[in-house]
Amino acid sequence: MSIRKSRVNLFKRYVPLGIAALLSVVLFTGCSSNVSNVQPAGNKGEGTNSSMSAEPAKAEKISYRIGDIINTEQVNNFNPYLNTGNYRPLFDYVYDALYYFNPVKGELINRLAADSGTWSEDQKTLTVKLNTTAKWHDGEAFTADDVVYTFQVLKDHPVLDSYHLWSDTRLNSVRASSSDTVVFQLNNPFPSLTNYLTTVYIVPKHLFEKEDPETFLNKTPIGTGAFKFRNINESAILLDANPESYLGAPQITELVLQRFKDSPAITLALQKGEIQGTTGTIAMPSLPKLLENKDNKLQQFPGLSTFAVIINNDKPGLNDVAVRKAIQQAINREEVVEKGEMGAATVGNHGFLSQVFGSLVNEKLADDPSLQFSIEQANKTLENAGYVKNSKGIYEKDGVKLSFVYYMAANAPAQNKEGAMITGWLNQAGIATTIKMVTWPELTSLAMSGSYDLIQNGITVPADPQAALEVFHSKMTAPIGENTSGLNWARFRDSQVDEWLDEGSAANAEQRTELYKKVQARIAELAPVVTLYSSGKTPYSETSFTNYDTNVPATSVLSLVKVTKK
Amino acid sequence: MGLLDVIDLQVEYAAPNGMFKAVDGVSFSIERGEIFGLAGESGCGKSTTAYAISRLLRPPARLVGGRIVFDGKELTKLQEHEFQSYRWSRISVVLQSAMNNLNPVMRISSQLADVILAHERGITARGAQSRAEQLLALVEIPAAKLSSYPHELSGGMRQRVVIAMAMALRPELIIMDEPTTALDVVTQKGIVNRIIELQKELGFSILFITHDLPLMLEICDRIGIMYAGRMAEVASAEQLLYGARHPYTQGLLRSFPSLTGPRVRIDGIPGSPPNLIMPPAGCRFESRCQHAADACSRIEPSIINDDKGMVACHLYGFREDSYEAVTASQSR
Amino acid sequence: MKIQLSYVVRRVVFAIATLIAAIIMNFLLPRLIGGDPAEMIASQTALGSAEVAEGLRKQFGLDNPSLIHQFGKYITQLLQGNLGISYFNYPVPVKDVLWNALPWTLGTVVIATLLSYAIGWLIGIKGALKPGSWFDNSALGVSFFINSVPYFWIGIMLIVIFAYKLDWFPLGQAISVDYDTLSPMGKVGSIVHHAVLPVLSLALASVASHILVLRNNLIRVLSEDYMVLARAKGLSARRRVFHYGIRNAFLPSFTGFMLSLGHVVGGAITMEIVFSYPGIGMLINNAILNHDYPLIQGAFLVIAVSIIAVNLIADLIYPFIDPRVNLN
Repeated sequence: MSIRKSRVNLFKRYVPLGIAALLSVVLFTGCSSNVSNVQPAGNKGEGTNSSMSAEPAKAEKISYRIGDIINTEQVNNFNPYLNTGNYRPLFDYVYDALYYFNPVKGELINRLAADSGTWSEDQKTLTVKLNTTAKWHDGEAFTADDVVYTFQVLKDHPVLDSYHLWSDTRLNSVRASSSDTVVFQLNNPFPSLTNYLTTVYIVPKHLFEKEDPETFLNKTPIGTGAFKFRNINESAILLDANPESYLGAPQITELVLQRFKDSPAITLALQKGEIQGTTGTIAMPSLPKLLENKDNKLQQFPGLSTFAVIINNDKPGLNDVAVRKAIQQAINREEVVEKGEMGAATVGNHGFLSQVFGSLVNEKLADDPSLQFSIEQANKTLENAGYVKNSKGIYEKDGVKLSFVYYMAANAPAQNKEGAMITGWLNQAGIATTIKMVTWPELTSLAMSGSYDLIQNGITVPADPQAALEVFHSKMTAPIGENTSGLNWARFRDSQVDEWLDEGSAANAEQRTELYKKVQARIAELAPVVTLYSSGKTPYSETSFTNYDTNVPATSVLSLVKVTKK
Repeated sequence: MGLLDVIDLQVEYAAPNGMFKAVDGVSFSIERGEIFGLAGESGCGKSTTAYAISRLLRPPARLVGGRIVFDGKELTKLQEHEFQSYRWSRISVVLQSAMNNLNPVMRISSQLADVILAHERGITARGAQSRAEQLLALVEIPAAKLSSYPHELSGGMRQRVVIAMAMALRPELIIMDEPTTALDVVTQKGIVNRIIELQKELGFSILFITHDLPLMLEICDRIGIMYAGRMAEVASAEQLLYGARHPYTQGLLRSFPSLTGPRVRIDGIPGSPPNLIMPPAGCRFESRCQHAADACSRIEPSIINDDKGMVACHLYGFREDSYEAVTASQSR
Repeated sequence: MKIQLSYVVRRVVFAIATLIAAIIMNFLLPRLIGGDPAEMIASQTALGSAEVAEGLRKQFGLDNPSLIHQFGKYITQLLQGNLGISYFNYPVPVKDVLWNALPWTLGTVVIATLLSYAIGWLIGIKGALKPGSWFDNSALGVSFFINSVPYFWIGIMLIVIFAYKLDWFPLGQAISVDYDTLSPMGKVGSIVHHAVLPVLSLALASVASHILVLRNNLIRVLSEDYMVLARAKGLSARRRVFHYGIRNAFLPSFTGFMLSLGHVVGGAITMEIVFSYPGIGMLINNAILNHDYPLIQGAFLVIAVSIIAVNLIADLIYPFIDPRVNLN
């Protein structure tokens, strides 16, 4: 009896554990396979009117949802002039600039400008006709006065003029020659002006002139855009369609910008169908699963965002071009794109200029043997420059050890994966790194002030090749400890590059192409940064909506005004 | 017929290395108004016997044989809910080490009152409170102590409280398991005296369990000596003191020094009790007995009942006996 | 056992002393980390307004390098309820930033803590009363299992099963996007509906230890002599289990419970990430990563105050629960 009893006891003791283990196995396998088989739930709960009529039913609400990471510190103001405290993609839906740079095709599209502008003989005056069918969301008419006011603010508050439009070599005056025409007067020829005009959202004079643009929070933004701001809560920013938009009335009635804390949550919501697209944020490792559903699409284009390992050229060790070259040669960018971005990005141009600029890109650099990935080459570069490996396998010269702090974004799986790969290669090449993870805003802050050795971050350039390359102009930088005035976070200074760029700002199209290619070659040679990839991508879903305009980013305003419910 | 008759009681324990009988055929009886002592070494089974009588045995201990007859009723046949009416109102207990007897987070008054409230219908809380006061008065504790917690009382006072508690429902039998062992001698004397006084006054029987033989000889009417799960001898205190028959009893008596008298070397009883998982075939005391004969290791001694009491030893001859003969000889 | 006034006074004084120490630590901490806060303000040309930055410096005495002066200003502002202005949420004051996030944290974490302890205790008691039974072994087995998996796994599993597959609950967030159009009842319903999974995940993750502590203590208590005596006294099972058993076994669990409550204000950052839920956890985490000193200080102060306050309450309640505690 005692033996049977102890067997029963054993049974009693271990079966519950077994049940628990079984449960977990079932959950694990069941869920991992189920997640791929599940059909996205679609836009539940919204009006589903399956009528065949061309016009949308009046009382029906058609809601399109975009998901993105929008933290509390990104919704403190809705003032397009301010660089911080707001969520920039919002402005494109609510406001317009005169022109829009389409990162898919690399072209300019007219928005509030009715034409592409007429240049004077001496190239110092640009006359732009305005699209006066546009109206402010509060019903007031849009006129040239609004445009003049918008640019005047930049002149009166230089701290807001991030692109230095007002300077001795650029804008002299902006005035309205009639209610629908604006004249830009320049001090020197500035062919890129129209590109720069894409960065300035036109604001309503009648509302902004009562406030101080530097501190105005603009909690209820009034713009001319295809969507009107309704309100904001903890879960989303809600926009109503503007039926009187000059782009045509949107076919959706509501645009929801849903707020998330990280990209995996966004990706899950997209997979379920709770959101229909994002402005680019996606958890790359989940991409293959997402695309197994044929209705989910990933639109890809080179874009204006170049991800790079940004090197602080002012730091000891990193101020040596041999070290930077070695870093450049030690990184396998193709593999970074393949494994980190799931192949959904374009391998970066060593000359930095994004492929979105088409013929201006220096294609020779792609095949240049000295720029290929090779750890041995990296070692040789360092050894030729007199570096010797110490006992720990780290290169050293004159007491300077090649050991650096490597910053990257926290809570960003793809970034972290790529960072791990890159630091792994650097290690193999005899360059030691200590990884530190910080938030995106902090990353920018460190870059601006130069408080870093190496940063893995994206540089989003203005929609202008000159401006893009001027990232490496010495006037765009500042010493360590001071915030840079431009995007020259790398603290790169080369008189030759400066010279070519200054020349190019006033040259004609052919000369500029020449000069830009020279600049790119020089950048590739001196490696102030190591470009990884250019990434423009828009994930979107065609399960419930169709008619996306893929000539532009599929979730940008120009596409969303055309999108209809299936 | 006595108040309590224990006949051939058997209690089994399941130990990690086997089953054994902690109480293996123990018989005795207690009269009304009698103080009956149960003595023996640690582990001889006396506490187990007490627990068996008051139905407090818990697994791995089990009652596996014998009868317990209380006031003519066969207790072992009762269901738990039927036994409820016996608990405390007819049989109560005082356990060893009163500190653990009392609930540390309840006031004395609650602990005294809750048993009254549990058993007496129709008594109010206030009524129970005043009864509690009276009970404390019985053991000479001031009423002010009612609102105290156990840790605020001295050891002696706690023991008095426990004794008062045991008398709360005027039971017929109080089982006291080492009630004074944890106390100093002076306090012990005071409490023991009070117990005796109360017993005379209220007339309840006491089953007094201890290993302190001299104390027992002083206060008990009759005493049973247990060894290795069995009863070795039962006799009146007087008989035991002047004419103990079982060699074990004699050894025990020799083990206690005299307060007066010359200083002598104490013999004690060499050896240790047997392993009850594999009990020896014959007499269990055989290995330590100076009088052990050849038969002792092979044949279990039969129980001998006569006018002197009960003894289980080959020295006093082989005799057929029956249960009636045993009880007849033990009654006065 | 009478609670002396002297005991109460002593506890309160001790709490105040701890609070003062916490305030001083809070003040010193960013300065100890290195990185002069004045420098931080100077380089933070958020909104580009130098005048505003200067104003802040004056307000917090950062224009004067003397620590005493700065501390004095800090205390002055503190007493006025001014915790400073958050760098990264400029121009929102720290107080407002915390105030917006606090209700979400308090609501979910407090309820989750209460639920977790309540469920844990009930299961623990049931298991202790019948140790070794099916129920007990299963409860132990399952709770050991849950205890050993990381919290986020529990959260994610709940999302995958109940939100993704079954669609009974939302994938995350605190309210539905159309919250503002809902009736008051609808609003409450939306909040509750969104809070179920976060609260459940938090409660489940910590329930194991609550079960174990009470169960084991109760088993120990049930074998004490006074329990035997209670049975001998013929008291009802309910009275025995509760007044004699649980009231004794409960003491360590109570302490644990009060400590947990004190830490509620720290938030649950993993939950906030997994469920995209607003709350103090992620706020503090980002504040630290962003070097947002005023926000860090403000948050730590709030946490310190809450822990001290809850501990004080626990100290004052405890003598009622365990009369043996030494009030000296």
